[in-house]
Amino acid sequence: MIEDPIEILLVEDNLDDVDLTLRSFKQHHLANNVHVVHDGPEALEFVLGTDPSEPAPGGGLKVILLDLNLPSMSGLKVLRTIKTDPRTRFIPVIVLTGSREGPDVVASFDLGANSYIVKPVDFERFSEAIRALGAYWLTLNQAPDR
Amino acid sequence: MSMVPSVEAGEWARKLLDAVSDAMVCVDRSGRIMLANGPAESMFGYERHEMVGHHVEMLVPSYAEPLHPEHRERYFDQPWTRAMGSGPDLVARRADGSEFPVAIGLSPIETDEGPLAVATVRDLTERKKVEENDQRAHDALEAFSYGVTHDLRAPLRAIDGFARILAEDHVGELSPEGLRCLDRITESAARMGTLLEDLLSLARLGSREVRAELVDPKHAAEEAVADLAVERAERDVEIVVDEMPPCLADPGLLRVVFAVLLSNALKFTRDREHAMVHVGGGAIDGTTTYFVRDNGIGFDMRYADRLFGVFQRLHAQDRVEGTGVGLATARLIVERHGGRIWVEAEKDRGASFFFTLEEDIL
Repeated sequence: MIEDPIEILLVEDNLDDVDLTLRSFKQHHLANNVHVVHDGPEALEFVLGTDPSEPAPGGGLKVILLDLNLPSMSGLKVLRTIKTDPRTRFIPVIVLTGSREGPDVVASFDLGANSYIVKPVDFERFSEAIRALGAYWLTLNQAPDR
Repeated sequence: MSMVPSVEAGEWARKLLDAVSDAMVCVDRSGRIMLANGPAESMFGYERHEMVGHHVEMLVPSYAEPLHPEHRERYFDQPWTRAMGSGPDLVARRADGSEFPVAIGLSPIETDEGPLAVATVRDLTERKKVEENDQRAHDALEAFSYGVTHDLRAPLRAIDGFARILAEDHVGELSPEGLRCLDRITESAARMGTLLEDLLSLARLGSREVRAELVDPKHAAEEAVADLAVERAERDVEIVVDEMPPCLADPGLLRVVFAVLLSNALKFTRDREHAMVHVGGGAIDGTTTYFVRDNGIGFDMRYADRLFGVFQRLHAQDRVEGTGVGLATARLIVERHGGRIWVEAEKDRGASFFFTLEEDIL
């Protein structure tokens, strides 16, 4: 049986936020194939694999949602690694952050983040942000042929 | 001043030099110290006779010694009066070899012995320590606030999110009271979100630099009034702003003070058919004092101090909203300008908030 390819990778360590995000995806019919990892090393293994000379296992991802606030390895390090690897640098990465004031937001754009969402306290707004994300990155955006 | 005979004039001048608070050192073109006053002795750790006749380079850090003669030459070629504190930070050296930060003012004088440079030296060690501490405290507060509000937002998001999910997915299983409970959970989460934002703003304001300039308070007050359009909609509110004496203040921060006091006045006058707010200022006991006065519900003066704390309230929640961090913010700003803020009120007879902004802003 051919498995549907994973389209969305969610890198998020806060389990509540994982559930809320997945629910938003489901509500807006974007839940097709979401894979969740909880820290940087897991994310890099999923996306880049262990052998740089092999095609990247996560090369077919349509979008990565990356929380900046991860335990141990920082979200910025994950971002930099994905964006500097030639096999994966075209994958859109959307950075999730708790506050737009953080210096991390600027740093993430420097490292090639495609967009960022501030995780609001208000769930409705969060859900709407996810919907807009999905609509753009998963349907409208055209990635360059790799 | 009466005519003083020249011998006593010399005595008098020497005593004067020793009585000033700053160190004074006179140097001739070749760099020789011609005069050093009492404060210079204590500041640098030398007796007068150890300095006079010696080269001024002895008071300069060793790394600056090679370049100093050149600076001296250049100064005497084109002598000018340099204000203390202008230019880059300077460092001086004590007798024990230790270095310390200084501000130096320079003035040229002509004497029978030729041109001299009079240097007035102020020890900045204490001031730098205070500045560093202030900076450290502000940085710590900002980092703490940023971290805390970030960490508090996450569970708040979960509370709001899951309450809504409960309401959406299980609406059939819940009674109207149950759904109402969920509404209150969501409302509280939203209110807490606002309080967190306010706390963060307060912390940031505390560490923001006060950029003082000559300001017309009427202008700042009118800008604040303009921002209140939404609160004033559908209410009969009269706001009068008088001409006021100008002040030295940070225009943005002054506007925040007026915004807080005006917003407060609107809250306290909510039950009045015709709300009246009066903004003005003038001299009280010789100090320029500004006020914002309303005809609202007022309060018992016994509890006036609590008003300026964070999140305090003087009325039951449903009668008048709490002032959140507004008055605490206003007080922080006023005090950073070297001023004071206070209130006079009477139950049911309105309140008047007064504040001063002293002229000497550090």
